[in-house]
Amino acid sequence: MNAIPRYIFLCLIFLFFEVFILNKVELGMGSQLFILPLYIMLLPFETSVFVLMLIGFFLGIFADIMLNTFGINASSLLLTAFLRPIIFRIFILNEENYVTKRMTISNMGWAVFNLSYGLLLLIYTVWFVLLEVFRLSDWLLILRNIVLSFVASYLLAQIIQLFFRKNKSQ
Amino acid sequence: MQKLFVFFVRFRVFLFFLVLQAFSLVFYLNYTVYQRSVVVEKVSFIHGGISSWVSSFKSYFNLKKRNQELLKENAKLRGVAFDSYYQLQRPSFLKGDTLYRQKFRYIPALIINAPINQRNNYFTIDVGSNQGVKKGMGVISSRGIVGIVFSVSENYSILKSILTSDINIDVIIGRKEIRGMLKWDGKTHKIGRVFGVSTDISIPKWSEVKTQGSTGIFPKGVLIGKVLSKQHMEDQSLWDINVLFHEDFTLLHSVYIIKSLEINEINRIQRSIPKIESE
Repeated sequence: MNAIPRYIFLCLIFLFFEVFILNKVELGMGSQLFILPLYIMLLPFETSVFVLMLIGFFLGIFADIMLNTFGINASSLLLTAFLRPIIFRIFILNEENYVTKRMTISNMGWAVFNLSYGLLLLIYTVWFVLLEVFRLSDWLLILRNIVLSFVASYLLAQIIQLFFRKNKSQ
Repeated sequence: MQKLFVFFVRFRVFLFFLVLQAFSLVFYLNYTVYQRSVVVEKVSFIHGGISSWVSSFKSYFNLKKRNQELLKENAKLRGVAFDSYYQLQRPSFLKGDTLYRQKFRYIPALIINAPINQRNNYFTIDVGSNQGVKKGMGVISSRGIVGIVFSVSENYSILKSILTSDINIDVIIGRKEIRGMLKWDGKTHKIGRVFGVSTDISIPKWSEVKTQGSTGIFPKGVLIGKVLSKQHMEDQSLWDINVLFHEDFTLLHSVYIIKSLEINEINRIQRSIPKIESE
């Protein structure tokens, strides 16, 4: 399958999953499940930062339209897309090995993937929750929502990665 | 000029990021202004179309429960209809009696999308301006208050639910009708908080919290929930009251938009109150 249609298909799947399934899951205590930062993470290594930002921005806008969140997803995904190359530069030592590859756990290795995605997801979650609550005096609420949403979304990403690993072995 | 050009080239990625980020943040931070309503009006059409397809699919799984809810509600309404009363003394009243004037009409609607996990939860419903819905109308369900109409397109509307950070609803508590202000702190969709009640006043647990009806948006006495607990506010002689919502927002399927027939008159008379000028 050609790369671009595959990523468009993947984008629609992620968007549908976030809007119509994860958004309905009630974990309680203000925690939310985020899957869209994983899509930004999975895009090929050589993707230009401009393309990454445009994808992040428009993916976020679509999510905002569906979720009545008015720009909060666009802002958070844009930040994630902007920081992705910087974070990769920190954790990926041998960049030549990753060119043309999808940034999955099986291609990157457990440690590099988890460190990179963990940091990206943390930045996304912190920015999202800060914008959402928008009151630093509610710092306990902010902290709780960040920690719980981050842990839940991180575990979800691990489960999703199992599907990518299975695909590869086939 | 050349230095400026070099600057733009050098920081083009960051500048591109700033422009898009500024666009997102302005969109987010100004979502209460008119421009946002216009955008939402357009996009709610798309969102409504997709969501109603998903909602109609999902509704098959809840038909039995929804039927039970509707049956209960019908039974309740039949109980209060004029036809249900026996005339003890003639003539008592007629439907068109000039002594009884209708204050509210109700527009039924189905919930298409109702998130509850966010700090500000906006719901989408399947009626809009074509069905007579206007911005600012109150919205209730068969179990209690839901929110206020925030934005309207032709066939869909967005509600600002009571599960948002900046909603303030005038309420009355218990039989003594103690007045307070309902807010939501974002911690759980099951509990709201009422402020503005003096600690001199005793508030028994499980007292009913209802709408005050002072603004004319909601009728007086629509149930919101019951007092769960209360504690002193720091440095103030006021109660901070936790209210257990009567409505379970996870099961919300149908609502009624309240069309107040006297809202314009109330607004007009309230505008005539002279403002006290500071010296």
